[in-house]
Formats: sequence, C-alpha cells, structure tokens
Amino acid sequence: MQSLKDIAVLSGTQTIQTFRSPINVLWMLIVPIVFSVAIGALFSSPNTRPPAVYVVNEDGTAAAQALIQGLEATPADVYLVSREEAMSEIAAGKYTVAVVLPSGFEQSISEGYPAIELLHHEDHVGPDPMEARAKTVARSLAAGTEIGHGYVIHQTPNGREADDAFVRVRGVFGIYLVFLLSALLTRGASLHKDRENGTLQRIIALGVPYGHVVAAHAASIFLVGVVQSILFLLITGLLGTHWLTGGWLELTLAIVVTLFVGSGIAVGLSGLLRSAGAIQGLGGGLPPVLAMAGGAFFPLEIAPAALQQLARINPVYWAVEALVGGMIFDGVASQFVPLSVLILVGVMSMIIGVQGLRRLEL
Amino acid sequence: MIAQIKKVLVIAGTSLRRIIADRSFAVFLVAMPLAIIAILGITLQPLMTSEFKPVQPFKVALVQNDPHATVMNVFESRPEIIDIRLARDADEARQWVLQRNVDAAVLVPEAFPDQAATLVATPGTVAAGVLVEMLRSVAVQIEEVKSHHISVARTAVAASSEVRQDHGLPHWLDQAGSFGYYAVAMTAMFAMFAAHSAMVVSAKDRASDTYARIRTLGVTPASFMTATTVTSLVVAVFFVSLLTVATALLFSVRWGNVGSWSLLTLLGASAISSLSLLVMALVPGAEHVEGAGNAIFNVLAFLGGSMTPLHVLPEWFRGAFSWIPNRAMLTGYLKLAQGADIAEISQELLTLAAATAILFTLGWTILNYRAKRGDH
Repeated sequence: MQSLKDIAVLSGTQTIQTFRSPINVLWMLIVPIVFSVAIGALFSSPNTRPPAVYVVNEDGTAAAQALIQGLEATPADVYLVSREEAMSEIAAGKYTVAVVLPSGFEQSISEGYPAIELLHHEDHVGPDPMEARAKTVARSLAAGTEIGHGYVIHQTPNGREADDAFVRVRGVFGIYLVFLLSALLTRGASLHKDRENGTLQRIIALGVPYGHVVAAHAASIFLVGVVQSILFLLITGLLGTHWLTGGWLELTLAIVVTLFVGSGIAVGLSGLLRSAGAIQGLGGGLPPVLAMAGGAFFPLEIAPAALQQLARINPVYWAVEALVGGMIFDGVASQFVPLSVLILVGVMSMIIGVQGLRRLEL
Repeated sequence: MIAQIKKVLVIAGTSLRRIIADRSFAVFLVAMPLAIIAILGITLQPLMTSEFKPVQPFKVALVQNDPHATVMNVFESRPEIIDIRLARDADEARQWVLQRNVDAAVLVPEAFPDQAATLVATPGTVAAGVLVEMLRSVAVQIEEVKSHHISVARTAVAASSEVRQDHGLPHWLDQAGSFGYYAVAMTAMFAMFAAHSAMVVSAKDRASDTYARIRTLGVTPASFMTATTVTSLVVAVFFVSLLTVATALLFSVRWGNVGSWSLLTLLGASAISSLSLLVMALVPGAEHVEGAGNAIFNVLAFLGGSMTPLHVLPEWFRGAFSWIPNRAMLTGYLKLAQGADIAEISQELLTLAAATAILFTLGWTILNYRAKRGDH
C-alpha cells in the first residue's frame, strides 16, 4: 500500500510540475493546437469540397432558377454575377469558365433544344467539367427527369459519405502524434536530470526504494500523455475536428494504445541512454522523422515499395492504421492488428527500459 | 576598442568550437535534416513531377453496369495507373475494399453519367483523387456526345496582362523537384535552430557563473552579446554551407551561382541570428530560451513552407508570409536553383536586410533595457 502511495505521490508531483512550466504548456499544447487549426483550415479535403462556378442569369425565369438549383445539387458552389464581373474574373485567371443563361433560355428548354452560353478564358480549350454539368442539368430539365449530381458519389470503405471530417481528423492526428511522442520522450529524460542534479540520490536517501522511483517515472510519463491528450482532443474537438466520426470506442482504443506505446518507447529510451541531453535531443528530432516515414503527413501509397515496407516497423504507421481502421473501415475488427502490434512494441520497449534503468549507476 | 574586438573574437571563436564540436550538432543539425530531405525527397517525388505515375498501379475493384463499358475502357487505357479487378457485384467490391485487397472500388451504374458512379475509397488518398478526376473526365466525354442538341455559344475572354503572371505557380516553384525543394526548405528551417544554438549557449553562460567570470576579465556586456551574435551568424553560415555541399553531393541539388548564393546566405544568416537574439531577449528565464526558440521556429518553418510544400498551400498563404526571414531564404534559394541572377532575388535580399535591421534593433534594445533593470 505504501509502495502505491509513494509511486502516486512521485508521479503526481512530476506530472503537475511538467504542466507548471509555461514553456511545456506552449510546446505540448499551444503549438500543436495552432498547427492543428492551421492544418484543419488549409487541408479540408479538396476532393470533397464542391467546385465553384460563376453563373450569369440573364433570363431570370423559373427554368433558369431550376438550372441554378440543379447545378448546386451536383454539388457546386454557384456564384451569381453580372456578365462584366464574370468576364473580369476570367480575364484575371481566377476562373476558367462561367455559365451564362441567356434571355430566352426558358423558351429553349420548353422547345426541347436548350441554349446556354459559355464564357471561357482564351487559353481554355476542350470541354470543361462545369460545362458538362450545365448540359446534364439542361438536358434533364428539357426531358423533365431528375436533375443534379456531380457524376461521382464518394463513400468511405464502411459506406458513409466521404466528407472533410476524416481528412481533417487524420491530419490533426498526425500533429498530435508528433507532439505527444515529443512530450513523452522529453519527459523520459527527467530521471536522468534528477540523477544529474542530485534529486534522485536525495529521494533514495529519504528511504524511497529505487524500484518505486522507476515505476513513478514510467507512470508520470503516461500521466503527462493522458493530460496532454485529453486537453488536445477536447480543444481541437471544440475547434471543429470531428474526433468521434468513427465512434467513442474506436477513438479511445486508438488513443490509449498510442499513449501506451509512446510511454513504452520513452521508458525504453531512458533505459538505453544515460544522458538527459541526448534523450531530449531525440525527443525533439525523432518524432517528426517517424511521422513523415510512417505516413502521418503524406500518403505512403505513392512512396517506393522499400519505404512502404520500412513503415511497418514504425509505431506511427500502426497508430495511424489503428485510427483509420476504426474510423472508416470495419471498426474495432480493423483495429485488431495495428493495436496488437502497438501493444507488443510498448511492452517490449517498457521491458528494455526497466532493465536498463535497473543498471543505472546513482 | 581593439582590445574589446579581440575579446569578442576570442569569445566567439571559443563558443563556435564548443557548438560545432558538440555531438548533438552532427546528429540534430546535420544527420537529421539530411534524413528528412531523403525521406521527403523519395516519398514526394512522384507528386512533385509534372507527369504523375504511382510506384505501383492502384488496385481498383470495378463493377461495370454501363453497357458501353466506357469507364472500363478508359481505365484499361491507363495500366500504369489502374490495375482493374472485376467484381461480381457491389457487395463483393465493397468487401474487397474493407479487407484492403484493393485500394478502391468503382461502381458504375447503367445510366452513367445521368446517374452518378460510386467511388468507395479512403478519403484524402492519392488513389481517390485520381479516380474522381478520371470518372469526371469520362462523364464529360459522354456528356459531349449525348448533348449534341444543346446549343452552346462560346465567348473567349482575353487574359488581362497585369494579373496574368500572378496566376498559377511561379516558375521557380513549379520547376522545383522534391529533393530540390526539401533541401532548401530544411536548410532554411534548421538554419534557425543552428543560429539559436549560439543564443542557448550564451543564455546558459549568463545564468551560470561563467558570465560573471568573463566579466571580471574586462569584457563589457555589449562585447559579450556582440560575440554571441557573431557566433550565431557564423554557425548559421557554416550550417547552410554544410547542407549546401552535402545535398549537392548526395542528392544532386542545384543551388545556383556562388556569388548570389553567398550574399543570400549572409543576409539570411544575419536575419535569423537577429531573430534568435530577439527570442533570447524576450524570454525571461535562461532555461526557457531553447524551448521557446524551438516552438517559435517550428511555427515559422510551417508558415514559411518548410514543412508543407508551397505547391499545395493556397495562393493567399504563399503571399501572406513571404516577408518571414526563413521564407525569404527559401524563395531566394529556389529562384537561384532555377538560374536566377542577383537582380531577380533583390526582393528577398531586401526583405532579409530589413528583417535584420528591425529584429536586431529590437533584440538589442530589449537586452539593454533588461540589463539596466538588473536582469541577467
């Protein structure tokens, strides 16, 4: 009982001290949140955002209005502008085409031979996707059939409509992984720092067994990660990241196991290395490299086969797989393999770390 | 005066040796950026070339209900991009995607394109993007044939000469390959960390009794800070030179002519050293100088296009942060790599000179103010 109390007091104190430092708060929370907001704003999936189109409505009839609604349903962001405005924007190169509904458009529809006009940039040659959409809608109007679709309906592997939410969550998760690993690895240096400045020796002189100190060290690494993760997920969630797209259980499993493997690697490194400076250096530099090579920022599907194979020994790759599997594949069933690999890596790293720390000279 | 200059040079020389001889310089400021350049250069090479082709064709499950098999014909004509796996029905195709046997499934209805095709794929992947574009392109072709009775009057609009050159990616960016881009981007990013290492050493010295001992040898606070700034500048120039040579040898990266490169490097190093001086002046505790610098430089690296390539960033973003020192360095080096002369990088040189003047003045003034107040 006393052992547990010692471990709880030591790990709790270390965790509180970590978050008392303004630089730690800046580095562990503010910077990653700023990055996440920027990533979220910049990389809302361009594939799922409706394309924009300028429409000049010179007819002003119900048929013209129906065509505009049909275009919007394709889906497209329709901007109603004057002919002059459309020409000026096309000339400036902002848009390549604008659809004009000339006066008499309604009559052409009723006669079965729709007539539209297309303003296009002088460099633009060949049929334009938006022109084709306008033709489809016009043809449907003339035939009296259902109007409006964008030719392709994109669904996720589990059959949901593919929207910005997943792409954004994946991007923000990459940022989360980098800063989580960075915080945990840096935190792994604390025991060596305590040894270098004599705090560790004083704690042991006060009668706390070294084993308890090591256990508290590992627990504080995990606790720091827990606090960081809760705050990060909460704040980025409030700022628009849809973490729960795949469900509570899938997200919790992916986060908790990632936290475990991150803590395991941090303990492993603190057992392997003897210098606080070296561990802190790795804490700053290793996570971005792991994230890039593990496909957290860029799709690995286009990388050479050797790099794709190399990713399979990278915990970041499996953490991303756990999240993706849970969110858009088959839920927990798809998470089984990545989570198992992560737990194995975490346990092995933890064993290596504890063995290394047992041999630490005080 | 001469005695003080000598002291400045001695302190700067000693600090320089300390920083460069430290193992962490070799690991974190040489090996790490080179490793990142290699990873990103290899990974993003297919995306940053004009003719995109995946390493292996995307495996696509196809359910073809269109009687003319137009989609299948188009897919078959691009075997280097699409590897077709015909599925019996939609359920089988979806199952293949769920089991990750294929990268995507395309379900083409009988009435395509009057009825939309369904693409089942992980959002945000290259395969999904390529397939959406191909399906839309097929739809446009079919639509052209089916809509022969629709009259389309075409009016060509002439380009406006004033704004035409701002449209699309600039030449210096468009032509930069993945290795060329990231060699420059990582150099601009890590140069900030290299320059800051001198400020970190100085802050630690000031927090310990080292500074007090140096002062007893007759070194004025101004001389000490000048030595720190000079060290920072030299470390940054040394780092950029090292990365330039290493990336030229390892990845065949071009850096342009030596004269323009030297001037850009000197001004870039001055600007980031001044920025580092300002960071040190603003951060109250010596133990926080390194952490604050790391946080600020990471954000600047992101805004300056060192992490995410400028190609994929919106035009407003590319324009809004062109005044940041590391971004001006990045733009300058990319232009030089495309054969620009000194006149063509005058905007970047001017930006860096102005940044040096402003940041150095601010940093120096704040340090003086803090010294008068009795801070270390």
